[in-house]
Amino acid sequence: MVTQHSLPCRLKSASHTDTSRLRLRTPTVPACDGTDAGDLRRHPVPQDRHHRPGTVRRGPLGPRPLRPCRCTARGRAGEIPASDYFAICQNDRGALFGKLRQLGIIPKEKLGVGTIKLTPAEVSNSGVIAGNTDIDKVDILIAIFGGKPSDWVKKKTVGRIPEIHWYQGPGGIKVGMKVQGQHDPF
Amino acid sequence: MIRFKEYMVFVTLVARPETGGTNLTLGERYLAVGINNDTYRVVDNELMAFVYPRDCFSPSDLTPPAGWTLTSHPDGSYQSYDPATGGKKVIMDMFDGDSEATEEYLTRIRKLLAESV
Repeated sequence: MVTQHSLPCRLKSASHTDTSRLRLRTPTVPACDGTDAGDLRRHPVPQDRHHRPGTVRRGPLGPRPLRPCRCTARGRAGEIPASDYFAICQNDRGALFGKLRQLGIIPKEKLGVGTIKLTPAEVSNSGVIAGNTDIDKVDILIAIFGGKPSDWVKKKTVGRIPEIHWYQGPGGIKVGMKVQGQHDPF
Repeated sequence: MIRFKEYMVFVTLVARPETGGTNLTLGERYLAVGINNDTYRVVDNELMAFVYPRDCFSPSDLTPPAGWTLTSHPDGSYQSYDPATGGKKVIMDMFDGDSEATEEYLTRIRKLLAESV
């Protein structure tokens, strides 16, 4: 159905009885079908995944404030506190993180990594606490950072006080670095 | 629980692991308290039970003895622990600095090593 409000301004003054004129022009002016899709056809907006500041989108647990867009996250890595994401959904974090990773929202090199610095000697002397499916959080790690269970190990320093724990994944990435006894970031 | 010596698994270090293993001595025999697809969890000279590749030890093709706990996964991977060590929970809590778990772990490991002599 073609309604007057869906037509460009130059057609709004046209008589509804002038059907021949409408038939000629309607193919280039998508009709309003009362849905957002119709509105987008008439007023196309960029369909990228960047957020519009101040708007709200629906998350797994209902509406929630938007995070900074991925450009901001990449430009100022670490700006998004990992705790923000962990608070999003406690029910299916693995699936959610996987989706966020696909969207490029999570600054994956930084997520869960604090300001702890290890020397090369500390890394090479570190011991493996657990590996493969023996790691309790391996599903979450894979969902966020990729790889397969056998790519992942949980390691700790030896001879350093305090001891530092972290997960090491494909390509040697180190995530979830923490001091012994602290809460696991995943 | 009745415990049999045949439940104990010993392996000999034949090659240095790429990382870690600073508390292991080449040619020495070590108590293994966990077996996975491609790794052994071995009690080193400092009584810590880190995980090392099987290739570094002889024999490298051990299967979990009867009586060990066994957890299998759909992808074919598995983890097996000697129950006499308290299992995975005690070991993980010990690594995470839990003092009670550390005490329990060390008591159990010392007892195991004493039995093996």
